[in-house]
Amino acid sequence: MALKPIDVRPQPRLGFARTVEIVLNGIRYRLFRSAVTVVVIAVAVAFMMNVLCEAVTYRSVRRLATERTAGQRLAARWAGRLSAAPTPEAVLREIGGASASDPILDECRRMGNLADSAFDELRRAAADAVACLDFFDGAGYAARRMMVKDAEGTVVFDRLQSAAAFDAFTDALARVQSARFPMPVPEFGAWLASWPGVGSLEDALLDARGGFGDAVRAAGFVAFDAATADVVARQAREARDIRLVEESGQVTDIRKAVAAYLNVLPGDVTADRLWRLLESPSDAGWFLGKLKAAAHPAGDLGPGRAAELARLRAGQAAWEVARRATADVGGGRFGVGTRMAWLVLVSLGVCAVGISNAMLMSVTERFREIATLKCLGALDGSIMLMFVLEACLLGLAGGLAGSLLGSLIGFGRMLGVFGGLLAAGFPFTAWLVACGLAVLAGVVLAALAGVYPSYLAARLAPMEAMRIE
Amino acid sequence: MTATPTAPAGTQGSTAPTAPADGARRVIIRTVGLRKSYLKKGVVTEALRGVDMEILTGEFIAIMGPSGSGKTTFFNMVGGLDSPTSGRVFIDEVDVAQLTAVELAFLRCRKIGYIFQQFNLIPYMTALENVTTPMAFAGTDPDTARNRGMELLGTVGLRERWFHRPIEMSGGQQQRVAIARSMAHLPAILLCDEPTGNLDLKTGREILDLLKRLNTERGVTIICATHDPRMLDLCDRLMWLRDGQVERVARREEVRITIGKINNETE
Ligand SMILES: Nc1ncnc2c1ncn2[C@@H]1O[C@H](COP(=O)(O)OP(=O)(O)O)[C@@H](O)[C@H]1O
Ligand SMILES: [Mg+2]
Repeated sequence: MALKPIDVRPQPRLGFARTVEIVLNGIRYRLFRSAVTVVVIAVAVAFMMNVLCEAVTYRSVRRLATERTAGQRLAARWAGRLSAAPTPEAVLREIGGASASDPILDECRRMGNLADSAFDELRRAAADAVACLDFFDGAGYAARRMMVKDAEGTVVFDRLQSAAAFDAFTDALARVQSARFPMPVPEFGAWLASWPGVGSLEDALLDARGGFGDAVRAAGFVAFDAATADVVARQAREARDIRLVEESGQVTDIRKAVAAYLNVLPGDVTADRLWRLLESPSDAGWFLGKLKAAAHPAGDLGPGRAAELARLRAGQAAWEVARRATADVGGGRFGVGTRMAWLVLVSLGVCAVGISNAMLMSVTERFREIATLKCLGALDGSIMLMFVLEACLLGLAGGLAGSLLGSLIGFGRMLGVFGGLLAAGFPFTAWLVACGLAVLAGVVLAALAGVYPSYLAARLAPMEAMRIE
Repeated sequence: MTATPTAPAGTQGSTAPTAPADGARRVIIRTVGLRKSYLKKGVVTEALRGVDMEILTGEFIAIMGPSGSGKTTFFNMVGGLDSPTSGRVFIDEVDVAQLTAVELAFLRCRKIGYIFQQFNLIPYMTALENVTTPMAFAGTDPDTARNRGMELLGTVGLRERWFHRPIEMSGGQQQRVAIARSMAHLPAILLCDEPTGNLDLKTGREILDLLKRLNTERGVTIICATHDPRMLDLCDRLMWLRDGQVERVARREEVRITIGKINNETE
């Protein structure tokens, strides 16, 4: 029998479906070994995911807390304006001291019905007036008497309108060497000439709708859009009421009564204790009764409102705590703070080491199999594809399991730190991205760690590969 | 350097086939000055030191020699499974060293069958999957491969055990699966490394019969490294290796006469 001569041609590539089949077969056969590898990958990914979850939570809570506390502070400022008795000086200080973006400016311009240019002039004049008022306030009693007699506040500017008074002022100023007047005296003279105009504008503002505070209230915060205005108005009212309750603790009689009721020293009656009283219905009843009896305005709040305020304050306090807890989180490489970014990088390193260790072990113990496959006519590429596919599958399984586990642990811990705030600040998108990254890291690292040794083994002659131990 | 298809007998001196009468047969394997040394921990072991050998198509050659004489190393070189330190291997006048990785894979897959001393079955595959793996690499469609695999398992008497994994089979059965696998593409050359070394007498006998059948019925060239004296009854020629060198090459008829001496040498 005559055999044909041996013809040598290029070997075809192994089909992808068949490769997958072989890989799945192998994983199923080495189920325990594969499971161990998956678990190692999962633990490594879980560690990284844990850190990522904390990082994204911190970032999100920080953003939210900054927003909320800023809102609270804005509301508190408005509340201050609402409850303070408006004086001409207060108006000047508000307008002169406000930054350009402050909504108060817009409010005032609307209330005074002023054109932009007129209002800008008013603002500049107000700033000058505030500087001068500060000078007189800080000048000390004797110097002040010499310069403006007994004039107080904006009355100073009215008084200096008379030539005699202005001369007396310049004389006195020359003698008070320690003080520095905020503008050159001749300029101040010119400014005083325009003061009646400024004063009348200011008066117009004050009188526009019966007092500054009322005017602001009546204006309904139009500087904000309707929805925000409502929120700010509500928050401002809440801030005012909260301040009312906390101030009641400063009244000696009430303070003593509460101390006796709680069996503590009067010095230990803090705002927190007052709020705790308001949280339980029976204590709240007693406390509100006491406030009414002492004719304190907080007594009019009513039990429902008081309980609501207590809840609100607890929430605000939580945000304030969260803001402080996350204060050092901002900035850094990923917007999660330098420390957190460092932790993320370290966890990535640990993850890489863990995964490559697991994969290296599972590939190197199979060099004999690689060699055998080569003896049977497998191309180097097919062998590597098999191992990369297997690594990817294990990496995917480990990555999914790990990101789930890591999320559970990470968010569990964050729940302990931030409690209910986590629900409001849950970083859903960032979490999904982190999950994706963690799974990707698992797959890519596993594939890299699997491809390298299988590449080393596959490119050797079969028997050389078989000799590697 | 490319392989030259000229190999006149006689240029290889003493290793020229001792039976030039076989005019119809071609030289299918030729080794020229084959050397292989292993370097391990600074110690150089010379496993082969200049082996010149010619093997004809359809021949059944037994390679004998004490353990450590270089049989396995020779097997690996001839099969294209390892690269020689120096010297050449020509398969059908093609220099193996000149083949690309892709062509080498083709050669291993379809033209040479390997039967290893340690079987080297893939542990996670069933008997059938082990047999069909070379066919998968060759691009045979799964149904054909399956039918052919069952047929081959039938030839080695394991048709009923096709779904067993290697660990669920005895050594003899595993070796038979390996033989079925090596026959997946009806190779022109079958290389066996102590195919009966790990088997009991009876199974060994069966395997040897199987090899002989492949040789006579299908004309497969068989190169078989062995210790087994029964091989004497089956082979056409014997080649003795000692310390990596060819000690003697003889036809079976010549050996028959001095059998006592052979037994001494091969233990
Ligand atoms: N991987 C190796 N590293 C070092 N020496 C080896 C290696 N493989 C074989 N050898 C040596 O080469 C020689 C021939 O070995 P081998 O071909 O396996 O002999 P046989 O198969 O005839 O028993 C022996 O001396 C053995 O020690
Ligand atoms: Mg051997």
